[in-house]
Amino acid sequence: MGASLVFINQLAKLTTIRAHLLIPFIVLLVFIGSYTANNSYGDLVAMLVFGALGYAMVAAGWPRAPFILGLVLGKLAENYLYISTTRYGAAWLGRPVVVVLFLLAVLVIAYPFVQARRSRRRAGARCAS
Amino acid sequence: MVVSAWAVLAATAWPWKAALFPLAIGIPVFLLAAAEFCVAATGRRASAEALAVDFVASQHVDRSLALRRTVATFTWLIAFAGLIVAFGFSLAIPIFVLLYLRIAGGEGWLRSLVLSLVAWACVHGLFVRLLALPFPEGWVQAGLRALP
Repeated sequence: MGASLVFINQLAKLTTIRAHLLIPFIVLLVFIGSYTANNSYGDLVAMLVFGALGYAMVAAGWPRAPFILGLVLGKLAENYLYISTTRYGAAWLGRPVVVVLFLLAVLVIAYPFVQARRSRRRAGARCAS
Repeated sequence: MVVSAWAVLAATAWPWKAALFPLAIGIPVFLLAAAEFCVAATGRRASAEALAVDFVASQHVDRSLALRRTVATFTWLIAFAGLIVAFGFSLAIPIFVLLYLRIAGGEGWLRSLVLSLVAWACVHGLFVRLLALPFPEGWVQAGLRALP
């Protein structure tokens, strides 16, 4: 991070380089990065497939962050759900931290609908005035 | 909705230990997808500020041009993957950079050659010499070696 801050001006100048000169080097780093995760060509295929999926999601206007979170956290969530259920049965659902997290999740789900309703109400008030 | 319904139905036949997570995920996903379907069916959309922040594709580019660019980009990526499998990283890198700069970038021979060598030198110096990462040879080299 320190090195990034020291060279921030030089790094910012990279954005002025023509895209055609940058793209092959970025592609190289992406391919090498995905290959060296497990030293397997299968990771290159996975990278291409998920790249295409990510592009399709952008084109369709679907947010990718929840999908990535699900992929990354899915295994952890499965393990700890099983551990919690085995240890406490259904009683873990009533624990304070769990209740707060559930409430937060409900708020996050409800937020877009509340926002949309507010926007409609504001637009209606503007039209009326 | 179809995928989550299928997952839930399939999981109901499994032992509870195996079915726990698919049910815990599948039921809420089905309900939320059904809610989203109902919202979409009524023609409502979330306001712009309510949507999740994500990269947004350019809207001002012609559809056919965008499609051509997308196909060309994915063709280059798949071609590079093919080059890596066929020739290994050490040969595929200069070949890909040279071809991309010449064909897609329209650069001159000299600049393309110099940048190809720079790319190869950087990768070889950093990943092979310094980090000692084992990049395998390609199928072509392996095939040539297997010849009597």
